[in-house]
Amino acid sequence: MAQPLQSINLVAPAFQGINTEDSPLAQDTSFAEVADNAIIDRQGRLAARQGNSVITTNKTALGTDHIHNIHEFYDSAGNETIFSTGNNKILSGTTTLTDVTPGSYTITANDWKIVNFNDKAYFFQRGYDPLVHDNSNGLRTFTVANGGATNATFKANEVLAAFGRLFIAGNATNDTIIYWSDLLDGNAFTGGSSGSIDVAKAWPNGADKIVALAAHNDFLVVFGEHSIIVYSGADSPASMAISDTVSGVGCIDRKTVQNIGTDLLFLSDDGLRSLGRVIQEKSLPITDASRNVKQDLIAKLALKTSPATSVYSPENYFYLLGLPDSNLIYCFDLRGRLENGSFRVTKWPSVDFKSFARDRNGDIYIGTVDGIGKYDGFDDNNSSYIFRYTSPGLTFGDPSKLKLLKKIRPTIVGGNNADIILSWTYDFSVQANTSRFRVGSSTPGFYGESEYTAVEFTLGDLISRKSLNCTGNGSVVSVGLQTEVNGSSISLQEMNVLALVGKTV
Amino acid sequence: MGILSGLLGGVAKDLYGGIPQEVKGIYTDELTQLTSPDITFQPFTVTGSTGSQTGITRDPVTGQLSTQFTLDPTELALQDDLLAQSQSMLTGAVGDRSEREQEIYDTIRATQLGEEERQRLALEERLASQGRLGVQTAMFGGTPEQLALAQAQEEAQARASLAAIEQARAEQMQQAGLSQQFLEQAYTPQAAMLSALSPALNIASLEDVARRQQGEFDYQTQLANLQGAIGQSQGLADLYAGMFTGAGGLLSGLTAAVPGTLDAVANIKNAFFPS
Repeated sequence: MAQPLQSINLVAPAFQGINTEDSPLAQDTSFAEVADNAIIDRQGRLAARQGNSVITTNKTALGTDHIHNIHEFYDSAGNETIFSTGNNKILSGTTTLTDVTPGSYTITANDWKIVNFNDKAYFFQRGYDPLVHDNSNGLRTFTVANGGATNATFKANEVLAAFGRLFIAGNATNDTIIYWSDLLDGNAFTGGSSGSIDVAKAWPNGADKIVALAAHNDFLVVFGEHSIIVYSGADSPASMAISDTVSGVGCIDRKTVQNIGTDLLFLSDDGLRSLGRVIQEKSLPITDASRNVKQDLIAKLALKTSPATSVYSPENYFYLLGLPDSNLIYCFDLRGRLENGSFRVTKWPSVDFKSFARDRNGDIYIGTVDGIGKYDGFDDNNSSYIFRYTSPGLTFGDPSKLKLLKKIRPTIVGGNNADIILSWTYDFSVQANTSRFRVGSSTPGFYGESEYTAVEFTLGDLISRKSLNCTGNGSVVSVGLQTEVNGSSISLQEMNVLALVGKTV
Repeated sequence: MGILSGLLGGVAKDLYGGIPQEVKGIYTDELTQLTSPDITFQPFTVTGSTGSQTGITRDPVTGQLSTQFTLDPTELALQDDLLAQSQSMLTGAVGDRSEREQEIYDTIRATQLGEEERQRLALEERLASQGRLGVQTAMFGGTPEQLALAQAQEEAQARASLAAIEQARAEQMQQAGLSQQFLEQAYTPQAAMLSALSPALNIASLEDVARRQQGEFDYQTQLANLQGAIGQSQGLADLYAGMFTGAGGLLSGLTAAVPGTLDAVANIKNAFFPS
């Protein structure tokens, strides 16, 4: 007797991002098993990320190295300089990378942290004489700027510009003392109202070392590796006092701390954490912002040997966590939290994005071996990348019965001649059945762009609805889609899966 | 010699032989020697109610008078104590104050150290709870609270130091006063003893006056007695002088009438007044 086709309509599939933590059988179909090079777009759809539009044309000074840091310096007079570091040099500019390393200043590492403070930019790296830049004097060492040798204790690893001062921590011999500068004078760490605080006796766990500093909600947040100390009253550092402590949660990389307005995000040894949530809940699981990819992320962190990188983009509603060792970017969508308190997450694998920075205009700079690029377009320096989606296991409501896939009908927005490869597997098999089709040709025109005003325009994004026949059977079905992104945006609006439910197996 | 001379000589011899021994004694007995009464100062000793004694003695050899003040042993011991105390106080009053100042300072600080330690520990706990134990500042050294506590402690030390100086100075003043007081009190038994001497001196003076008056009286009595005896002897002598004058006149007449009378008279004289 013929059985009716059952339909699972995956509307806005994977709009809750990847979930590799829950059982595939129990998962909501709004999760994804795989969402590579994807973001959640403004319509809540899974879409291909934008690419790296390299703007550097002369990277001679960078050599074969990649950009380790990017920083936008600007002062109250409107002067602006993009600094970057790499090849053991301090570089400036974006199109042409110019070596501005002070003379007779030898650098053998590129783990700088750069902050703007009071019309100056300050460069700190452990064991190195700090550098200070202002528009009048250019880049100078503290020794030159202050007219005297810099005390080794101030050759710090971490720097924070907040509360009218610079706060630094982590020198060659100590990781528990925070030094703060004189008021509004980032060069002066002696005299005036400068000072220091040794937090060695303040760690809630008894011992830790300072990894990062942050200012949030009028608090000075001191991140240890496994604990956090929150100081209030840091506008008068000599009198600041502990407001809260968190034990068991710390930060493992100072470059992962990002203030997203209402929260501080940072990378802990067990994933991405949110300080606001941590302070509120004081409970680890609930505050795990990377709860849905926790095991995967921890596995990647175990391989981490070089500094991570991160950027917060309110324009794109995402926080990017880069793990250069793994050539992997985790993209956390910050529009809202899921029920378990985590953010929606997608992955950008196989990318060589080594550093990020966001300027005042909202542009995201990307540092690679090619120099500095912008998060723009839909290719990585004229190279394509793969947008991939795989659904969790679909049981059609009854995992005990055999399913025979009949059709998969994705609704795809954009693509412009992209070849779409649909895939489906049964019972978690690694061998997938695939079917390919090509979406139509359409170059969308946007208001104000040349295609709209001068040459050509279309009515909008191309929407493709292609129904593909499927074969095979199994009790659990996974469907997927992948395509090569090469110049055009593409997003997955919907995926309708039709199956015939058979006998009990 | 003639008959007349013999006669005169016999008469004279009879006369002389008939003179009473008392008349003879006037000329032959030794005169009564008046003895001056002893009206010299008589040493004496005054014994006070507490047993102290003031004695005035005369050196038996030189005759020099001397006064001995002898306190009762209890009073003497008290006097010694007071003098010793006075000496001790005086030594303290004029001595170096620095050691005493340090002692007073240490005493004051000892009373403060406990509270200061409690405050320090409380601040330490507060700073620890606030995670601020390791604060070092260019402005304050440590935290503002630590500076305030240190300032308070320094001020307490300064006040203690000043108080110690003032107290040591006051003590020296007090010691000077006490030294004076002890010194005065040390001589109180002696003063009492001397006070007891005053009435005794009056009494002794009365006695002395009486004794001198008595001596004078005795002397005058003796003198009067002597003068009376002398008067008696004078009367007796006058009597016998008259008798001899009559006899002489008779003899003179005889002499003129009888040669050799003078020789007889001379014999009479020799008979009376043998050489």
